[in-house]
Formats: sequence, C-alpha cells, structure tokens
Amino acid sequence: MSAAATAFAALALLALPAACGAPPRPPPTATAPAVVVFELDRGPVDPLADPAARATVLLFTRRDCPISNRYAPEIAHLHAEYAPRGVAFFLVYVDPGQTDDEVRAHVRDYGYPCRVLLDPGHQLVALAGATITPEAALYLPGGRRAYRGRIDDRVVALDVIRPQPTRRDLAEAIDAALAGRAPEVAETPAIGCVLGDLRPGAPR
Amino acid sequence: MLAFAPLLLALAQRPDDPTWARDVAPLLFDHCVACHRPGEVAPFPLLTADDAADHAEQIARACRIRYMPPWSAEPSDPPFVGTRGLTEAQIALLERWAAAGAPAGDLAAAPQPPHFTPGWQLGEPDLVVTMDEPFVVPADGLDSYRNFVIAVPLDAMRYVCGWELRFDHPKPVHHGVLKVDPGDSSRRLDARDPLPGFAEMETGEAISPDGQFLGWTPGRTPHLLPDGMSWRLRPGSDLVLQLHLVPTGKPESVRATIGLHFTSTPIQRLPYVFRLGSTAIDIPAGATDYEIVDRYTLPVAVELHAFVPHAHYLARTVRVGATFPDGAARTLLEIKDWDFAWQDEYRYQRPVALPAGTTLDVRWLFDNSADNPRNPSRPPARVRYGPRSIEEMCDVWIQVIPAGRADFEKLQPDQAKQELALLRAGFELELANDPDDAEAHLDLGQTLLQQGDAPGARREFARTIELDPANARAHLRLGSLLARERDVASARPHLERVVELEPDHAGAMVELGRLAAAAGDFTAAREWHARAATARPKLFAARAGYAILLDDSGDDVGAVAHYEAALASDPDAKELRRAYGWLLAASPVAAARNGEKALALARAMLDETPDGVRELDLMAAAQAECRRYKAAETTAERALMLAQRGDEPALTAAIAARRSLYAGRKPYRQPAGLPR
Repeated sequence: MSAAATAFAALALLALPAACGAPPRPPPTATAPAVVVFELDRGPVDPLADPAARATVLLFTRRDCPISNRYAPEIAHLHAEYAPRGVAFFLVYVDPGQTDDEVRAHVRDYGYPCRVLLDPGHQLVALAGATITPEAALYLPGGRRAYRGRIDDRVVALDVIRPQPTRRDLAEAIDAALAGRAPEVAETPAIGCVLGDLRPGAPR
Repeated sequence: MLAFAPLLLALAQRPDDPTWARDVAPLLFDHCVACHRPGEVAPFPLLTADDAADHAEQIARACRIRYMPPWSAEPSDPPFVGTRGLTEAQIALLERWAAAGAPAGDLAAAPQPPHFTPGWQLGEPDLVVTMDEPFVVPADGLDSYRNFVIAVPLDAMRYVCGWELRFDHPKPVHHGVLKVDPGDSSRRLDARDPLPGFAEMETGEAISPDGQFLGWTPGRTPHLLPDGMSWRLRPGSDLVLQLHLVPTGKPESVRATIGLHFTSTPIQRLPYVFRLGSTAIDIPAGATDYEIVDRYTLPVAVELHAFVPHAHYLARTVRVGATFPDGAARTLLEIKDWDFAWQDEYRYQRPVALPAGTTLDVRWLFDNSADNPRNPSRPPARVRYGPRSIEEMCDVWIQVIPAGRADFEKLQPDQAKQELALLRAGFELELANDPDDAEAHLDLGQTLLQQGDAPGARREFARTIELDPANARAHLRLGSLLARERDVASARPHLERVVELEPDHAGAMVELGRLAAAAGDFTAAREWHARAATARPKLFAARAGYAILLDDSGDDVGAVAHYEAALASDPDAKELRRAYGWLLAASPVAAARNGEKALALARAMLDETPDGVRELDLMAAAQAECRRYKAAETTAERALMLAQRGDEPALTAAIAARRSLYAGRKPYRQPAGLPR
C-alpha cells in the first residue's frame, strides 16, 4: 500500500464519525499552513479551517474568463448537490485589479450561491497550485488536498467543447471524499484561461 | 514589494524580446480588437498594454491552436473577404512575448488603437426595425438556434442595398442569418412557440432574397452591395432573423436592431444561389468516415462569388472542388476542422470565372464515433438528416452570377431539377425509415408536384391528411392542387378546412374566392377576397386576387385601390401590371380610366421588354386613351408585325382590330364586365 493510500485509509476512518453527526477533529499533524484571505463583505477567513465542513472546495475564477463563466450553472448545481451534505464551497477571485463592487456584481449576475474569497495576492492559488481558471481544489478536513483540476471534462480544448461532460471529475472526487475513499483520479488538467497571466498583487 | 515587480521584470527582459508597444499592439489592433473591445462580442478587451498582459499566455495558446482569430478555411486564391488568421511568425512572436513576461515596451512609441465609428457603420439607415421583445438566452445548456420574425413597415417595395445588425448584448450571439418571408409561414411558427421567436434551424418559407446571402458574424464589417445589386423587400413581407446563440453562464437578454439601406437603382445583376449536398443522410452509430459527395456540372459560364457551408456537430471536414472542361482541377474551399460554433460565409475578394461545363464537387466527412468529442450523443446514436442540432446537415450553398438574363434562365431550371432530385431522395429515405411520417409525405408531395407528377402529389397530400387530419398545410396544398385541376367540388372542403384551422389564412381565402368566382358565385367570391384583404392588407396575393375579381366582375372603380395596393407590394408582378394597365387604358367605366397613368405603366414595361408584343399592344391602347391616335396606330402596327412572327393568331387578330379603331380615331374599350 502506498503512503498516499495509507493516508487516505486513515482519513476514511476519521471520516466515519462525521457520518454519525459529530464533526471530526483533524489530528494536529494533518493541519495545512493557515492561509488567511479576505472574504467578500465579511473579513479575513481561513477557508480550510472550518471544523463543520466535511470537505472544502476552492473554485478559482476570474470575471473575464468565458470558460469560467460558462461553468457558473454547473457550480450552482454542485453547490445544490453537496452543500446540504456538509461540503463548503468557496469561489476564489484571482484578479488583483478588480473592485469589490465588480466582484459583487459578477456574483449576482451569474447567480453564484457560494461564499466568495478575494485572492489578489494569489496565496490560495499558490497553496492549491492552481494554474487555470476555472480550476477546482478539494480539501479534506485538516487541510489535505484530495483533488485538483477540472470541474468536468466538457472542455476538451479551447476550441472543442463537448455538449455534455462524460466525467464529472470534481463531483466524483467529492463523492469519494464523503465516502471516505481516495478519488479515482487525484489530479486532472484544467482547460481554460491561464491564471499566470495575472501577476499577483498585494495580499489583502 | 509590489512596486518592485515591474522593475524585476524589466531587468529580466532581454533587448530583443518582443514588446507590446512595438510588436504586439499592431497585431492585436489588426486582428483582434474589432471584437475584443468594450461592448462587442468578445469576452474581454485587448486595447491596452495592461489588457493584453492580463491575457498574454492565453492569447499565445489560443492563436497557436488557431482557435483565435476565428477562421476555419484554408488559404484560398483569390483570398476570401475578411480572412482572419496569423502567420506562423506572428504566432511565434506572441509566444516569445508571453514567455518574456508580456513586456509593455515604450508606451510612448505605441501605435494608436484603430478608430471605430460608434453606432451604425454604414451611416444612418433608411429604415430601422427591432425585435418586438428581447429573448433571454438561458444561462446553461447547448447552443441553440432561434428565429425572430420582424415586421417591416413599408408602403412600397424597396431595393435593399445594405443592412446592418446591432445587439444590446452581443456576447451570446455567434452568428446570424437574415431571411425574408413573403407570406406568413414564419409568423405562424412564431405564434406556436410561447417564447419570443421560434426554435431550431428551419425558417418556414423564409428565403434568402434575390440570390443574396445575408449573413452576420461577429467582427465582420458590413458593406453596401455594388451598384445594380440589391434585394427586394415588399410590403407585407417579414424579416426573419436567425441567431445562433451560445449560453455564457448567466441569462442574457438579446434584442437585435436591423438597419436597412435602400437604393432607387433596380436590380441589374441577379445572383443565383444553389446548394450541393444531400438530405439523404443516415449515419450509423460509431461510423468514423461517413462520406457525402455531390456534384453539379454548370450548363452556362458563371462568376463564382461565395460559399456558405452548413453542417452540425458530427461533420469533420468539407472540401469544394472544381474540374474544368479541359480536365484541370482545383480546390476552391477547404475546412479541415469543421466547427459548428464558427459558421461563416466565404466570399471571394474577386469572383472566380467558371466556364460552362465546369463540374463543382462537394465532399463532407462525418465522425459519429465516441472519439469525436463534439458528438452530442453518448454513446453514439444513429443520426439522420434534420435541422435540429442532434441531427445532421451537409450543405454548401454557392452563389454565382451568370453572364446575362439568358444564361440565368438556362441555369435556373437546370439547377432546380438537380435540387428537386436531391430533396426527393431525402424525403424518400425518411419515408423508408418511417412510412407514417406525415410531414415527409407532405414534403415529398410538394417535390413531386414541382417535378410535374400531379397524381403522385395528390396521393402524398392525401396520405398526410389521413395520418394528420388537422394538418392545415396539407389541406391547403391538396385544395390548391385540386382547384388548379378545376375539381372545384373536391377542392372546396379542403380549403374551407384550412380557414377553419387557421382563421386568418389569407392564402386559403384567395383560393376560395377564385373557386367561388369560377363557379359563378360572385357574392361568395367577393366575401372571400374581402376577408383576405382585411386579414393581410399588405399581402400581395390578397390584394391582387381582390383586384382581379372586382375588375372581372365590372367593379373597375373598386378594383383600382386593390391594384394599387398589390402593385405597391410587388411592382414587378408582370401579369398584374398588365391587367391594371388595360383597366386604366380601356375600362368601359370612365371613372376608372386614367390615360396618363396607363401610359407611364406601359412605358415602364416597355423599358424592360422593348419588343414585347403585349407591352406594345398596351402602349397603343394607352396612347389612344390620351387621344394620340397617330402614335397609337404606329405602335399597334409594330405590335402587329411582331405578333405575326409568333404563333398567336387570336392575339394577332385582336391587335389588328384595335389598330383599325385607332386609325378611325377611336380608343379601344374592353367589353363591359358582367354586372354581378
């Protein structure tokens, strides 16, 4: 058994009490470095430190990426499907050159139901290793990353879009996490807009 | 810390790295900013150094795979209008610029962005029309096609030499096609769909008018047609705007405004549009190289102007070639990676001369396997011909201009024969697959009728009604066919059923009016025609039918207003113009006559057909009505001479009799209409 698989087996055991209603308490060794970013209209927050979340999804996005924007309805579907089951969703805006009003308007226009983080300094980008918008990172309690990559496989290339996805990679990874399993695929390539084109600004 | 970032980048930059100001801005200004600027279709602007830097690597990648600038065709000779695309060297430059960290360079030395005229590009239009209400593109889902019916407030026919399309929110619009519906079939489809417009790629009986492709793609500059070219727009016609809409992730409200430019120059060069392709498509699930081939040999020499290829998700490649009479062959249009999302019109900058005897050929290849990521069915399913995007099509529409009227009139029937055979093969395949498809029987019947097989058409129309008793179009077609065959008793119930099913169906009312008149029931005839003219006051058929009925039944004064209205809708309707001319020149009712008007009408008709026997005959009558008997006699003499060359003894005798009247300084009078 590989080291990673052992770790997941351990996590699976840890996840069991959650199913019985008691929030699991991550062992101190699994704690990720605390990254505090600004949540829109609220204030500083460490998105990975919510003790009530059975899993946490970061969704990296920018307002002017058409591929990110086209995923808005799918993100709302995922939220409706998994938020009631204890999964926390954060939309992470990565453009340092935008105002809160612009983000607020964008969240409203696209009907995003999730909490919104501002990451102008790309701290979460660095933590997750995200390179594309849209890209998802799924974290388990304690801060271990279980999945990173595309939301699903409908975008084959910038110029090739499937009418429907054949794999809902993020949903499958969340299912695995909620079931205490390791996801079948822990990493997939995301296809969309190049995140690195935005130079990080000052953290907020 | 932030303040140092540009400095660090500047230090890392090597002097030969491309910069935005020197190298990149000219490329973006030439190839991208027509769409990539605020208010246009593209998702972000690329006007400034910052705009470009925020997308640098994205730009390089999109150009490397030739996703941007969007253009599907291989280079051609002569080039196509609006050809987009970058050279290998230009793409490599964008890549080096992005890799170097997207340096801005010397901003003071940067070129100015191009100036874009705000608002209408062709100047203030002569007529502006707008969609009745906006259509909301849903946030999610597949591409969709939607057709919007837009009424045009015209009192007289116009020659349209240019048009422009503007949107309040252009982002979800991938391309558009404007058509003209001379009747009300599109309105009927619209009425059946609860949302604004109606769905799918079929546009009822709307057509591309007068051989013109009226297409719109984002970023394309609108242009006026050359002098002597235009398309006719008649009162009572509707514009039908078909939009290919792509969801953006949020609901988008789209409302189109169309600006039309008119010219007073009548059409001198009439293009002809035809298609090569097939409607007999049946692609097995999993097939990877399903092929459709079609060809056509031109009976006359033409100038080749433009192509519009059309297929859906399964098509992979299309090629149009020509084989010349001397055996030489060349490729005219080739798309190696067909993408449903980027349909376009490919118009030569200079037309290509094709001699008579040139064979045009079209070859489409389809991939209906799971390996085609664009395949909308998973697992792959059998796919047949149809306008819905989960079905397939494989047309290449071709626009040519024959050298003159004689060539045009030779090309048209020859091509129509091929088109009817193409349609028939498709409908027959549909019926082989589904013998109880009522619509396919109706379509096959219409095709058979056009091929001259009236018994076959009757059989197919009747079969449609058997399968779908409330099919108004089937009743109309069968009723009209029976009426044409003078089987009044059988025709009437079908036409009455149409009006029962669709109470404002002016076309059926006109037919019923004609039937009643033929049976001698002029009270009923008047009622039907009056109802039709009230239901669609600007519809040519409604007013023309009423005018002829009133004329025939002796109400010449009453007929005048309807002739005028009908000819305002369609000034080119020859038979009706002639009938009106005779009424004006020779009505037995003095109050209906108008010699000057008759003269002007006859003169206009003679301009078009200088040696027309009937035109000269009418002119002579008009001259006599104006008491210019000498001129009338001379004109009639000429008509008589020409008539004697033809084989129309009755007409010849009538003209001779009229000439004698003019010689005796008497005008000609039509026999009085029977008082009915």
